[in-house]
Amino acid sequence: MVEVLTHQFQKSAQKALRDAFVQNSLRRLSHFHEARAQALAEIGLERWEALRERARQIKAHTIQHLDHYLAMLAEQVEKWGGKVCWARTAQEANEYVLQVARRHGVRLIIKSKSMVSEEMGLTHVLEEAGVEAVETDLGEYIIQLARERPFHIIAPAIHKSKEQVADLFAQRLGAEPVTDIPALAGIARRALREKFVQADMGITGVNFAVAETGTIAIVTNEGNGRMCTSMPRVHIAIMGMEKVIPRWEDLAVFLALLTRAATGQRISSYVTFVTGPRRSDEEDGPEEFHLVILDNGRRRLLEDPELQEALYCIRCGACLNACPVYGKVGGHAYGWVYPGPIGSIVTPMLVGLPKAKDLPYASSLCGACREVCPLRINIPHMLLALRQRLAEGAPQERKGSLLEKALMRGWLFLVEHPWAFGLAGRVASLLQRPLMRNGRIPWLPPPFNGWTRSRDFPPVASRPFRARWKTLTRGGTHD
Amino acid sequence: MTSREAFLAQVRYALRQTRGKGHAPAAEDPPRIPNTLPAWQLEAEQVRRRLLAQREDLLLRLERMAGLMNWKVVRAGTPQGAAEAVAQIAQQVGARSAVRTAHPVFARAPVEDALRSAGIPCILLAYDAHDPQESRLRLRQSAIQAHLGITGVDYMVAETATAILLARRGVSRLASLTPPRHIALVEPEQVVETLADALTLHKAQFLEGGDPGGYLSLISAPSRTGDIEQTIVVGVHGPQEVYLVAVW
Ligand code: SF4
Repeated sequence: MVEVLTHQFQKSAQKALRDAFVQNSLRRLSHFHEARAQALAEIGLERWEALRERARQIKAHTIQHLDHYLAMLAEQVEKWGGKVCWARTAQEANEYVLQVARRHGVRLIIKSKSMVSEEMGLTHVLEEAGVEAVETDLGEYIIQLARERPFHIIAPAIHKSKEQVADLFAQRLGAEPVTDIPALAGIARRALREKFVQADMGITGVNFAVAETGTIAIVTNEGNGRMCTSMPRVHIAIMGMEKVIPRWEDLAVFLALLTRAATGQRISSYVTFVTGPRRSDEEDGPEEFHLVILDNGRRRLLEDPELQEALYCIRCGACLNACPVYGKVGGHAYGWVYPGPIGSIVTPMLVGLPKAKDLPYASSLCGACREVCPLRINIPHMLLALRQRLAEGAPQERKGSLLEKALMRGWLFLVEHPWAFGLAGRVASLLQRPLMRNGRIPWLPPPFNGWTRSRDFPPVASRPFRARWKTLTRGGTHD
Repeated sequence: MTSREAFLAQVRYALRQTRGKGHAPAAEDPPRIPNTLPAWQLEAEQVRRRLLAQREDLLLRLERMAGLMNWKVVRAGTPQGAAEAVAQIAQQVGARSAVRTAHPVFARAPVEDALRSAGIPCILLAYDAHDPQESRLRLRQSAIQAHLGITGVDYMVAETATAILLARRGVSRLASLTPPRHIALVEPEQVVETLADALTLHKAQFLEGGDPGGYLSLISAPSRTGDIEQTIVVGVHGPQEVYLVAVW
């Protein structure tokens, strides 16, 4: 598995806060946010809410019967000539991929973006074994050349300036130093085109896997996912086991949600549905198709009634874009593959809570993540549950003081009881007045000053979000 | 590698800790159209009827949305007009070579002739059954080097301007991918309102024939990236320009 640096949250967060370019690129995330609002207005809030509701139902149902749908998926993949690998750990999955590569004498692999392979540390494992594995999503390619890890689920290199990219290309590819962005993309296009043509194997992630047909769906904008599934002789797709959905027609529901929530696009430039290897009379495409189904600790979410719904996540990144903490500290502070609000739940469960003690606290519990989440995943509730476990748990997991425990109970109560939440918000709005400077709260009295030492505390809005939302939904366009 | 049984047993064990018990769902939940051929044929019939009733409006919506999604839309009127439109585009962009698929639309639109009169060779990406391996390699090379890829579509979604292409004998995956410019010829009967419509029509078909198809490409815009400073650049791995030639 890829190295875990979750314990360094505070240190890494400080570093990000001091980096002017990183702060600048984080501000640019608001662009995703606006695009998202526009996309929702276009399809109409009523339809959007119906899609969310439907998607949540489907996910709840599928996860409850996960064994059944995984078995069905595997059966169908095999029916169309694909092979299935059941991997309980990242290591098992890595070994399988390596085995297939060896069997085919593979020297060069092209990869399209996959968070799961990131989680497995796959590229690293392949390189150690002497197999070149090239990331082909432009952002991932940059990250790979820089030997870093993704900064954002869907915009991995958002923290890099064009000058930094130019330097990187000059150093690693011997390219002309240009800082014109289309020219930089052109350099990558040419370098990668060569790899696409030569590669013996393509590795992709999976956005959705349809149980009834054995189909996997891959969403990309650049077309690298299509390359990885068209050019090489062998295609391996890797999925977390929660990615399965029951039926063919469910794809319409999830595809309608994914890109609108992620970047505000109506749909990505490309979506590819792959069912097995190429048919024998087809013109081109891989002769072999493998599907790796990975657990790697997901069962700990599955068996946990409080945290199970974290498995509904479709990795759209909307909660990152909405999160005031992510908006300040960025993706690297979270120390592992999945950053932001959802990462603060998934990471502790996958790498172990004691190692990721700070993550459940990396949130102001403002609830924005849940509001924007297309699956309405109750992230604040789960963060509180984790905090409670840290506060009450085994000594090595303990973090909170008595005061904190009491406060948390209060929060839990407020989050669960909307009337009390509204009341408390109004009280807080009054109480904070003496602390406000230019609409921010630069200082909080102890014991809360740990928070404001490095950042302003966002004031409670004078009109609560819940009220604003109501007006919004009433005035929404339905065309 | 874990065995399927061991993996699923562990999933089942985890589920037993929560309310769900795993195993096959007892009831059809959430509700849906039953997975039988007659039910889906009926559903597909209803979709087709709805589409027919609003066709004029749909075509307009598609043209508008295609523009928003950065397709260059050319309204060709007739199949002959479509062939001429293709040749004109090829000349405008200075293409010197083209590849095409064997979509049925080319039986009506003589694209090859039109291109030949313009002095541009067009290769059909369909392998020779006598020598499949060798000819596949050659065609792959042609697809990689071509300036222009010309295809038909199987469905075209008006709501998102999404062209759906099923790869099969005569329809290479590469024709719409490797050339820097892609031209898609679209006929009115292929236009549907939503992705859900397309999936319904396709499902009714594969429930009958058995095969959902090995490879479906959904194409809604030029290849693009925003990965450097969130500045949009087109044509990063796939086509930088996509043309929708409307045969109506
Ligand atoms: S938790 Fe929700 S908003 Fe966050 S990435 Fe997952 S699906 Fe998107």
